[in-house]
Amino acid sequence: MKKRYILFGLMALSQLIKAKSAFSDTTFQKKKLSKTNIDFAFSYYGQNGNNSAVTGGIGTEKLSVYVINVDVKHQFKELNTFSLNSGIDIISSASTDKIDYRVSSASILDQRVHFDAAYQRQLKNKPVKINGGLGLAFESDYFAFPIHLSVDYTSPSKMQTYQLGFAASIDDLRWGRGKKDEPLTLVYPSELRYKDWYDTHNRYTYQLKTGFTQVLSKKVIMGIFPEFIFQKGLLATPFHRVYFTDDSKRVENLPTFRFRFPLAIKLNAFIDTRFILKNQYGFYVDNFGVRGNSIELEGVVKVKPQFSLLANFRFYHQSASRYFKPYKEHSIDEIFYTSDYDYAKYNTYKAGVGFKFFPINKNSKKAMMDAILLRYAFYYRSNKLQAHVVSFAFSIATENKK
Amino acid sequence: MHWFKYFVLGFILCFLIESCTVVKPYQRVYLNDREMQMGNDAGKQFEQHVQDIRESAYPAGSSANAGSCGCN
Repeated sequence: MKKRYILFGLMALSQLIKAKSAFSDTTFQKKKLSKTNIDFAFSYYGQNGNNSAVTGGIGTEKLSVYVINVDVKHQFKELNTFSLNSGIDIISSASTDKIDYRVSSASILDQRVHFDAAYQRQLKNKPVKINGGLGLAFESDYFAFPIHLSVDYTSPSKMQTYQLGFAASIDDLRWGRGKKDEPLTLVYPSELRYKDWYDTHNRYTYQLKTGFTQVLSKKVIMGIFPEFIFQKGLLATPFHRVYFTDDSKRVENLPTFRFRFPLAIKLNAFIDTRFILKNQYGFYVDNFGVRGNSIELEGVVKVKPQFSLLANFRFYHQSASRYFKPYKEHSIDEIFYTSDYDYAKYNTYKAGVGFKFFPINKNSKKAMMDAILLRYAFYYRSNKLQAHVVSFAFSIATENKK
Repeated sequence: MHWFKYFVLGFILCFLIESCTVVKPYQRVYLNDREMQMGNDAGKQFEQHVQDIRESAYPAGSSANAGSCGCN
C-alpha cells in the first residue's frame, strides 16, 4: 500500500515540475504598442450677403475660404500621446478689398496659418488624463499665441467622466507682420487714418472649460458642458466702419472687456441597432447683451457596419447686442457702436448631409485607411447671408509593436 | 420664458441622478461606437468653427478655443 502512495506521489510531483518548467519556458513577451493616427481634412466655406461690416453694415460679404488641416497623434509607451496640428486657410474676401477702396481690383487673397502641439499623459493605474499644449496662429490682421491645459477623470465604473480645462490666448491685431516694407500697425479704413482710435492692439482671452458625461443606459449617453470666457483688450475690429445719423463715420468701438457664458447639453442615443440620434441644445449669454439658443439634431444610419449616412439640422436664434444698430442708425452721442451683423438679431438655419466609411483592414502590419468622411451643409441667416460648407477628411492609422 | 428655465433645470437634474444600472464592459458595444462619442469629427469641427465666426455665440463643448480668427 505504501508503495502505491509513493508511486502516485512521485507521478504527481513529476507532472507539477513539468508544468512549472513549461510555464517558465514560455516564449510570451509583453510587447509595447505604439500607434500613430494621421488625419487630413480639406474644407471649403463660401458665403454671400449684403451687410458687410467693413462698409458700415451694407455692401457685399462675398467670401471664400479654402482650408487644409493635418493632425498627427502618436501614442507611445502606452500612456503617452503627442499630437501636432497644423493648417492653412486661404481666404478671398471682397469686403477686405474695401478697406482701401481699391476700385476694380480682384478680391484680396489672405492666408491664416496655425500650428498646435499638445502632450497627453495617462496616469499609471489611475483613470486620469492630463493634457497640455500651445500653439501659434497668424493672419494678415492678427497674431495669436494660444495655450491650454486640461484634466479628464473617468469613474471606476466608467459611467461618468469629468473634464476641467483652462485655455488662454494672446492676440496681436496689428498688420504688417513678416513684411519688411510695412510697419507693424493697426489698419483703419483708408479715410479714417488721421488718428489712433484705440489705446491698445492686444486682445487677451481666458477660458474655463468644464464637462460632465453620464451613461444612462446601454444605448444612451448624455453630457453637459458649461464654459466661462473672459476677454479684455481690443475687442472691436479696427477696419470696421460705423455710419451715424448725421452722416459722419467712425471706426467701430466696443467695450474693452467681455464676459461670455456658453452652455451645451448633448444626448446621443442608439435607436434599434442601426440608427443613432444625436441631440444638442446650446445656450449663450454675454455682457454685450447677446443671448442665443440653438437646437441641433443629427441622425446617423449605419447602412453597413463600415458605412454610415447622416443628416443634420440646426436652428439658432440670437438677440441683438445693445451696441448694434444698422447702417446710419447710430447716434453720435453713443460711446460704443457697431454695425457688424454678427451682433444683430437673427435666426440661422443649417441643414447638412454626409457619409462616413470605415474600411475593414485585415493587414495590421502596415499603415491602413481608418476612416473617410464627406460632409456638406447649407447655412442661412435671416438677414439674407447664406453659405455653403463642404468638408472632406480621411485618416490613416499605423500600429507598431516593439 | 420661465417655463423654459424650469425645463432646462429639470433636464439637468436628470443628469445629476445617477443611472440605476451599471453598464458592464461587455455591454458597451453601442456606447463604444464612434458615432456615440461626445466629440466631433473633422467636418463637424469646421462647421462649428463657421458658427463661431458668423455668430456672436461661442459653441460650448467643442475643441476650439475662443479668441482670434479673421474671416471678415
